Amino acid sequence: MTMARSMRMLLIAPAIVYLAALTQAPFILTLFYSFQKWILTSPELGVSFIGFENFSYTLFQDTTFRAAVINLVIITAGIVILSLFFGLCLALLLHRPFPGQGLARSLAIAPFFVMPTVNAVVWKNLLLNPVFGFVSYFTTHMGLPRVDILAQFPKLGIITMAVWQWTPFMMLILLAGLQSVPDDIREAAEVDGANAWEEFRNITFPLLGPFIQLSVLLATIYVLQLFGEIFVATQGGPGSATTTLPYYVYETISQGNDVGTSSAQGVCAVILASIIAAFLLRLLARTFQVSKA
Amino acid sequence: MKTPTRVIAFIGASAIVFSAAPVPRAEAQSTTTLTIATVNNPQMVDMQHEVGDFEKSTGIKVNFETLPENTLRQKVTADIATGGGQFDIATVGTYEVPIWAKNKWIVNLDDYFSKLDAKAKADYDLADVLPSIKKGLSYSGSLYAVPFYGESSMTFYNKKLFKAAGLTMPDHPTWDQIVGFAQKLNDPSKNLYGICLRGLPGWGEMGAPMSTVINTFGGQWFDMSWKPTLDSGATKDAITFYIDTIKKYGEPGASSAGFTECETNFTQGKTAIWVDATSASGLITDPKNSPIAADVGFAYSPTKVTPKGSHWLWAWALTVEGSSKHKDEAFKFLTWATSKHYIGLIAADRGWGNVPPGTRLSTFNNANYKKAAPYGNIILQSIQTADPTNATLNKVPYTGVQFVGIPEFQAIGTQVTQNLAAALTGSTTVDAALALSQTQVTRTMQQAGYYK
Repeated sequence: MTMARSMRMLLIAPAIVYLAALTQAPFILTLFYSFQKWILTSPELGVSFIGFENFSYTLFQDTTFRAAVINLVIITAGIVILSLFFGLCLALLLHRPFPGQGLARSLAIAPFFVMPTVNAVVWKNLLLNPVFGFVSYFTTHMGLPRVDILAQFPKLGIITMAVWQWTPFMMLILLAGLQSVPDDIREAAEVDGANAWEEFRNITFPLLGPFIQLSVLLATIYVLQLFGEIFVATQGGPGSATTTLPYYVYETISQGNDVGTSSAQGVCAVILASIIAAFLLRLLARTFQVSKA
Repeated sequence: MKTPTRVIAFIGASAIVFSAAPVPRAEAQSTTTLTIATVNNPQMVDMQHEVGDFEKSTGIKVNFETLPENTLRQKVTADIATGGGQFDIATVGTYEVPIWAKNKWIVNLDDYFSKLDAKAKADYDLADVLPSIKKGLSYSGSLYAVPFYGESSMTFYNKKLFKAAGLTMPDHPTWDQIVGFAQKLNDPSKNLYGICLRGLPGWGEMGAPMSTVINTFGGQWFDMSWKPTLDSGATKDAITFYIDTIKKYGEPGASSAGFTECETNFTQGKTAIWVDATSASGLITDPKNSPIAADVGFAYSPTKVTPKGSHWLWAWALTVEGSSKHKDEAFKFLTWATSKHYIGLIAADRGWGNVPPGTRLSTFNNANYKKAAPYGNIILQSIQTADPTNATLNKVPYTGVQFVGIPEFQAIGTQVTQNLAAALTGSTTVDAALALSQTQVTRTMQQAGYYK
């Protein structure tokens, strides 16, 4: 290394050290605590080093942890796929100019700005409540039985709330994508006799590839952390039907006051999220690589 | 041109930043500020309105941090367990006080009470505070918190619906009688349900009424060697009864029905019977909130095999944190907020129906209170006969009526009620839920060192 190069590294070193400490310190502390046994409400048990015991319990013996991981995957996949589908439909509808397009677009974007807990409260009490809610009102007046969605189909309830909130997000990104599709290609396809569905499948959809990639990746990262809706609407229940990993970590630390086990669960969650992100990136790259060719 | 603007902007920004930063004041001139962590109950909201009276008479400022119950418990626990020192006063319940007193996290108030002069002692009149509530807030014979409001549980019923069906509710009903009434009054086709019982998971939600049912059936959470007894005998019968009653004659959406949802169902006339906290009595008889205010009937909490533990004991109380730097001032606030003078303040401002209930005998004996709350006698009797040290048919190693007074119970109670909520919705059976609960609770107790 030349003198100039090492000087450069020395000068930016403080900034890098500061950045590394700030962003990694919480994770390093979590890692440290995951090797300890520390229960806040039982100080007489003390804080002691127990090696990988928290991890072995979490990964091999804790059935609720396994259920939490499966629920996380199901709920996240459901939300992302459904909101992508509805977002795409909305984007296609709002793409062409029509009177009131601006207003329609603003209204369609509105659900994204509602806070998750508010969203959940309104859905739970106004819409999904089996005694007072609108959904029950409609189903009973159509002759169908009175359904308690949050009790019978809790995952569906949570997915519905979150899809309502994330569809605008998908719509925004895909709308930008649609507007980037050059008009001349589509006109050429029309001239060649392609109908609307063929045009969409062979031209629009492949060109939307990067945008779909982006929106799915961003949405997955955020939806993996979904907490507000679950906390307010079902509290992870009934049983552990809607207990996802973030909610389970919250339960372990706030109800069980168990710092060690919850830190171990947190570390496992980080590893799992990294695996999911890597897998997703590869899947998306492959999908759009193939159709482009 | 650019540079002066930038300089001005920088100076302006730093001025704002530094003016917002706290400037250390000389100790002698500072007014003490107490930070109190509290729940958002109506009684606490009233306290915040009246705090001006305290600040004027003592010159101590009070800063309220209001949080929902679960978050409050978690935040204060974390604060105390890690020695954070964020709060001077915390709102705690009869569950936390003995546990935190054992850990020396809260202050023994006996010392402070003995230091009061004769007039202050007579004004405060500690003997006026109901003995069972004091017992719930004590550890090793010393008082560690003063009650802000107290409650037990009782039966509420809709007199109009009962009259229409030609039924009469006895003063001391049994659970068999209650189920009989619920069966006759249950009419889902008209969106009317026989009974509303809490089904929302949580040791303080479903756990509370269900534990009273366990007690009165002759069951218990743990045997004398701390092994859980959930899947056998009277305990299993009690839990099965509780879940089945809700499934057959209870409200739909039971697994997300807590205190608030049941109160709404009852006041909207959709439920004929509701067994829950005595503190609901003020809300359901208030014509402003309750369409059926005039039709509410009251009875004692139902019993089965034994009246012991058939109605719970709970009090929200104020306690001084051990890490507080203003213990004397905090004690002054404690005695102000639970004094007869304070009750008088609330009565004058909000009426006798809204005074903090269930703490002082003098409140119950007050003529105005009796007029505003004619059901007061049932509440008083229920509180006085709820004994956390003697709430089960057989001997148990724990204290507590509707909870088990060990730190692990928060997790245990919530886990078990979560499993039972799944049984409530039909996705599993009660037997399976109890078997799973047995395994989970045993593991938790092992981890906590109760046995190997």
